[in-house]
Amino acid sequence: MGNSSPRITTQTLTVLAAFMSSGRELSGAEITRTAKLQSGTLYPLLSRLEQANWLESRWEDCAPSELGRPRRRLYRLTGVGALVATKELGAMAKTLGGLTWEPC
Amino acid sequence: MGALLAVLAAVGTVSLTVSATLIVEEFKAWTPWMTRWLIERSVFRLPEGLQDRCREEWSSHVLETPGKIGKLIVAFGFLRAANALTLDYLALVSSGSSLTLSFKMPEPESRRGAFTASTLTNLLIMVLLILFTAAIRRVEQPRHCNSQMYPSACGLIVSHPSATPRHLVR
Repeated sequence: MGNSSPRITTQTLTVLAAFMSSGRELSGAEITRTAKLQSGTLYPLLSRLEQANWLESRWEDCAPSELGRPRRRLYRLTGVGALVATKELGAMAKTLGGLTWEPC
Repeated sequence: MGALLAVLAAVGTVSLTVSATLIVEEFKAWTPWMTRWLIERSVFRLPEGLQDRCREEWSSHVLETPGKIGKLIVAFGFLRAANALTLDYLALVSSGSSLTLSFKMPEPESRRGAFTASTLTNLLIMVLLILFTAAIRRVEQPRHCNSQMYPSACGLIVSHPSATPRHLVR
């Protein structure tokens, strides 16, 4: 697997679209809500996208003791991921009828 | 007779309502525990290097999910996610990739133990389900089906003239 590009599936496009639409860091639960994906599908996909360097992730800044709950893992698109997302979503939009995709 | 039936029906309705309420309350009380258990089961299936990260991430995901049933469904999904992540990890290891990520090679013995424990748990759940189904079927069937005394209860057609009530025989 390594840095090889993940397959562009509907789920991949949905996740990329969620990031492009929000334009900010998203947690797994937020992506689930936005992309309407189940947790069983989402996390393997996020892992693959992270391995391909399309996404990067970090923990919330605060410590769990301060938050009083487990920290959220926040994901965001990398430069490579944003390029791929723009290209793939643009191609999909063209296929669907001339719509264009512009990141926020 | 009618009054007795009405009383029995009322008692039955009340009993059913109380039982249903109790079952729902029990279910609600057990849901957080089941959710935690599912997360732990899922985390247990993962490679060691991913366990801490996923435990914290998935626990926070469940907390962000509204509703107890919703939390439970999300937690069930983690089982599938853990399987997929482990398969990806094994593919990564078998391909001999130099990409290390945060994975650590699990001990073969511990993985074998994990597999055995997981399989045993799944088998136990299957056996319990089979027993539960068998118990339900047994309750649904009449226990003592005496075809001579109660032919209609056994689904037999009463064709013998002697079985017909006398006032109906012309």
